[in-house]
Amino acid sequence: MDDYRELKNKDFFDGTAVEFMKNKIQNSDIAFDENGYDDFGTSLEVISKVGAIILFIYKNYFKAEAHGIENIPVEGPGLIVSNHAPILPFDAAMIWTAGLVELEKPRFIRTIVNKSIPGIPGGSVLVIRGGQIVGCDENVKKVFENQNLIVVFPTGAEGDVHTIFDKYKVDKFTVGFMEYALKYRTPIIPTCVTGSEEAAMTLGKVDLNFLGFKHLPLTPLFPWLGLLGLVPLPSKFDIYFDTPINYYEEHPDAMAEPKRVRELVDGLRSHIQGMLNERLGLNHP
Amino acid sequence: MKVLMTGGSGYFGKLLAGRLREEFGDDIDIVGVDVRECNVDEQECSDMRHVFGDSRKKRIEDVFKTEGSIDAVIHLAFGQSEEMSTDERMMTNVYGTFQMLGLAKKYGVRQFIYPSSTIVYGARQDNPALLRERHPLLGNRDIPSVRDRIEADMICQTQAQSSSCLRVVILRMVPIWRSSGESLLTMYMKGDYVPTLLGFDPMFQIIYEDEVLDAFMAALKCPTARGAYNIRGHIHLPLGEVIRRLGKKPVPLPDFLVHNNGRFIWSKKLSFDFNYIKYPFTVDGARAFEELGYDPAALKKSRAERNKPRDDSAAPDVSGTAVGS
Repeated sequence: MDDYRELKNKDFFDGTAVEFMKNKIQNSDIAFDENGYDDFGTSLEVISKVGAIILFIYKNYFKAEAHGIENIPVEGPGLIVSNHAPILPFDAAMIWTAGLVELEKPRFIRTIVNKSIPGIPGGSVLVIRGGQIVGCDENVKKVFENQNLIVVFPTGAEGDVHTIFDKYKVDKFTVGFMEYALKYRTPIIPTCVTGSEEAAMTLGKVDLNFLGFKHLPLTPLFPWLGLLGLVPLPSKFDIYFDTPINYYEEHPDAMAEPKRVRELVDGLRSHIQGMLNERLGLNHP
Repeated sequence: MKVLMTGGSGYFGKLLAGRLREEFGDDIDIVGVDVRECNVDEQECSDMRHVFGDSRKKRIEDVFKTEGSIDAVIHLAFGQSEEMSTDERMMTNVYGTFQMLGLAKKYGVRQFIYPSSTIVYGARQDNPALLRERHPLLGNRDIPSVRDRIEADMICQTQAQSSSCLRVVILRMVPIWRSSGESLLTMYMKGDYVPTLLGFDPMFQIIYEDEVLDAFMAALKCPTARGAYNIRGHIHLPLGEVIRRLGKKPVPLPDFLVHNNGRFIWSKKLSFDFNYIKYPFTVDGARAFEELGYDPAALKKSRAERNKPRDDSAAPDVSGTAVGS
């Protein structure tokens, strides 16, 4: 079986979907050693099982659709830059799944996680075994050397907790990803995800700096239902991949000028905002 | 070829001497310098000539004068015995290295090989998945043996960069799986049940003794080797999986049940930085592969073809002593 659409609901419970994902991952651009681990600690067994659950959500819960999938390069490194919805990173999971199941030659898209994640009990095991990488220069360089793709959400910490009243308003981007794109001469694939904000439905936030957290999001279900309140609301996800832009080829000298890097980043933010405005009929600046 | 080896009477000294003899036959003269007497039977000592000498003392220079032209110095001497005072250990580990480097330079030695350890990088939550040689040495300096390793490593690095005649090679080994002897890891892995930290299972690398010897041989044979090289074995697995491979069972426990103030609750003798079982300090061995031609996977295959297959689970313990930690 090569098409995930052929998977029946029962296939997600009898191990068929796990085998399907395992097959996709093994045929992708990620290399495992004889023990089933890659250089970053990704476990083939863990990621196949987790991947089957995410595929179920992709196919049956969010009924996700990927548009412009041909814009993801068949091979070579690249940075997928997207808008980001608050609370849990379902948009990242959907982009990761699209890379594996929608392409003829599957591609394993890495997500960069915050440096604090490995310090959380269980965080290192779940996130790292799940194929994600801690955000640091050496890891990014290694991913690009391995000719892999990375998805980034450069809206920073503030963008993590905007409310449904500002939905699909793309906040100011940080510049780090553009520096990587210029330094390692990798193309950027502008991407937007719709449906993710409705799934999170953040109504507000409570500042919890004094407890060591940034914010506590408030949704119709969280924290009122405890952890159960973090379950996303059903919403139709659409992922749009746009034509890759090679910023290094167009602006080879920009790296030396922080001001120009900032301009390029702001231009890309406007481009992604424009993609969202066009598809959702919005007029965010 | 003449090789001078400090710490020659130690565990790795003898193993390395045997390997050098096997590789070079009668074409090599191995001089083992040590403050310890060779107290094992003659058969085990026959691969090298034993000379009494202390790298901390000025009189060690007499060995260089007497032996004449030396091609390479392998500086294995490293003190981490609990019986030694902190000052005594520092004199052996740091000043001894400094003095041996100076003498090697003075007497026209071509190569100086220092076995360091990957613990010098430190285990930190923001570590990259694979540490490269230029990564800063951020190991916990509150632990005397780690501090000494870092100091000696940095002295060697400085010499590697500044000296044009003497090629200084630093081999940063991942924890070594020793077939005998006691070390921090042996003590940690003692018993059938090994406590680990609940919620943490970092990637962990170990290296076998024969892989360590392969790395020494690769460094010795490479005429352009210079600077630091990460040396890893073919095992790169989560810590829990490494423990299982040893035939033991990992028991995840909350932090406060594993250690208290840097001291292991389950063995009062054991005191170290528990971040080494919490966060990764795994390394990229690409430089050693590209420049020294050291490839643990290929060497494993060729050894398996040469000898009968080794049963990994039969090895009694995991260790990172004298050479590795």
